[in-house]
Amino acid sequence: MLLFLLINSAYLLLIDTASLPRHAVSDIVWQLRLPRLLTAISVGAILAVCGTAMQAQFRNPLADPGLVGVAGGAGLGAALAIALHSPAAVVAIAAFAGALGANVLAQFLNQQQQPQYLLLAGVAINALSGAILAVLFSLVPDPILRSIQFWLLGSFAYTSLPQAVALCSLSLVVGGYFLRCATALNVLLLGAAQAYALGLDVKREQQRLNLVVACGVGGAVAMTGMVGFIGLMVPHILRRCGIGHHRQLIPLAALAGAGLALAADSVAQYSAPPLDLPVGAMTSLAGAPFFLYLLRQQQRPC
Amino acid sequence: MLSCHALSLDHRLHDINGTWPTGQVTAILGRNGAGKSSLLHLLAGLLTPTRGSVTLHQRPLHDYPSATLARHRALMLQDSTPILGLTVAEVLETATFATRRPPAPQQIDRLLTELDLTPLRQRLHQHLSGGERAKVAFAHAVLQLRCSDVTPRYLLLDEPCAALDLAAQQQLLQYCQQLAQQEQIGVVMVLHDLNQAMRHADVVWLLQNGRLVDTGPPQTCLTAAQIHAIWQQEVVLLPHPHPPHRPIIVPTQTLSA
Repeated sequence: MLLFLLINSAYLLLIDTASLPRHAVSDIVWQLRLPRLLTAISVGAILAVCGTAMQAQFRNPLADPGLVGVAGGAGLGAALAIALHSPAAVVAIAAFAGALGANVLAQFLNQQQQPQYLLLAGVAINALSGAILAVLFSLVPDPILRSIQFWLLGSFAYTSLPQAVALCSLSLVVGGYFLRCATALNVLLLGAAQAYALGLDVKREQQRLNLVVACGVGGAVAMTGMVGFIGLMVPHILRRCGIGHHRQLIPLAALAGAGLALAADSVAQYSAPPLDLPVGAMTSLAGAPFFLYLLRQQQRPC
Repeated sequence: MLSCHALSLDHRLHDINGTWPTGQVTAILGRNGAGKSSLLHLLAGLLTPTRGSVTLHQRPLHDYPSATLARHRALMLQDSTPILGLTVAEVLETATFATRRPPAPQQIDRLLTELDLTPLRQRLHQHLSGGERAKVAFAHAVLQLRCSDVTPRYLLLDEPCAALDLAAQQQLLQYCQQLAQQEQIGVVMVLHDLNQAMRHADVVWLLQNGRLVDTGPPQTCLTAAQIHAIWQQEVVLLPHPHPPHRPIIVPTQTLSA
C-alpha cells in the first residue's frame, strides 16, 4: 500500500513535465503539485483515522465525520468565518469549533448507542447546518457566495505549501494520538458500560477523542472543504479484510485513506481535462452507493 | 467486603442493606421490574445511588478510580451487540485493560479449554451466535478477575444463562461455584430460573417492588409460600434424587388464570 502511494505520488508530481523548461517544472512541482499532493494525502489520512476512531467511539460502523454531522458543523463554522472575511487562522478555529459542537451534540443524542439514533442525530445536525448555510447564502454578496459554494464542494487544489505542511503535521498528530490510545479504542468497542467496568475513564476518554476528531476534521474541512465518505469506507474495508485491532487499523487506515484521497483527486484532475472537478463530488459518487450497501448489510442478521 | 447501606435508587430500589462475602454464590431473584439488574449495576458502580451507598472496604465505590475498581470486580452485562472487527482472542485481551499488561497466552488457553471455547479463538466476534457471545462475555469477565491480584474480587453477572442452552447453563453455573470455592471470588448473579438458584446458589436475595423481602440459603427462602407471595405462582417442591438433595420447584397453576 505504501509502495503504491509512493509510486502514485511521484507520477502525479512529474506527469507531463518532460517538455517544459526546468524552472517551469520547478514552479509547477513546488507551488502547485506538491502542496496538492501533500494535502490529498494528509486529508485522506485524517478523515480515515477520524472515521475509524468515531466508529469505535460510537460503536457503529456507519459513523463517519460527514454522516454524523461533524464535517457539516466544521463547514458551517468555516463558511461563517469566510463570509465575515476572516483570515485563514480564524476560519480554521471556526471550523474546529463547529466540528467540536457537532460531535458533542451527536454524542449527547447517541447515549443509547443505537445506530439509528446516531444517523438521525447526523440528519438533524446536517439539516441545521444546511439551513443556516442557506440563510448565509442569501445574505452574502455574489463573489463570496461562489467562493463558499466552490469550497464546500471540496478541493485539494487551493492550499499553499505551508498550509499543506500544516495539514501533514496535523495528520501525524491526530494519527499518533489515536495510535497511542489504540487499546482504549478496542475497549470502547465493547460499549461504554463494559469499558467503564474494565477500568476506562469513559467520559474523559470520549472528551479527548471528541477534541482530537474536531481538530482533525476542523483542520481538514477549513482548508479543503467537504470531502465525504473516506472515513466511512476505509475502516470498513479494512475490517472486512480481517484487520480489527486498532494498533494495526489506525496506521493502515491512514495509508489507505491517503491512497483513496489521492486516487479520487487524480480522477477529479485528469478525467475531464481541462476541467478540475471537485474531489468531494468524486468521493461522494463512490461513497454514497457504498453507504447504501452498508445500510442494506446492517439490516441482515450477522 | 462489598456491602450496601440504606441503598435507594429513585423509584427502583428502596432501603437495601446487606453484605456480599467472597467465596460464595449469591443469586438475586424477583419478578420483572423488581430492581434486580439495577441492584447489580449499583454494585458494579455503573449507577449512582440516590440515597445510601455501596461500599468496598468501607469506602464508597465512587471514591475509587475506575481502574482500581476494575481489579476488584468484573461485570457480564446482558449485551449481545457484536464487537466490530475483533477476534475472540482480541476481545479477551481487553480484559486486562486496567492492569496495562496483556493476559498471558496460557491463561487465555486454559480458560478457553475449561469453557470449551477453543474453536472460537480466532473467530470474529461479529460472526458468533448469541449464545457464543454470552460465553465469551463470561470468559472475558472471569479473565479480568484471574489477572488481578487484589482481594476481594467479585464477579457480577446479569442473567448469564439467558442465551445459553441447557448444557452451557449447567457448565456456567458449576464454573461459578468452583470460582467461589477455589478462588475465593464472590459471585453475584441475577437469575430467573428458581431451580438454578436453588441448586447452585449459597445465598438468595428476594426482591419485590424494589425492596429486599428475604435473604438466606435457598432452601429456607424459596418456600412454596414465599414463591407464591412474590411471583403469584402456585408451586410444589419435590425432593431431588441427587446430591445435594435440594428440592425441585415445579409450577402448578397461575393464580390469575
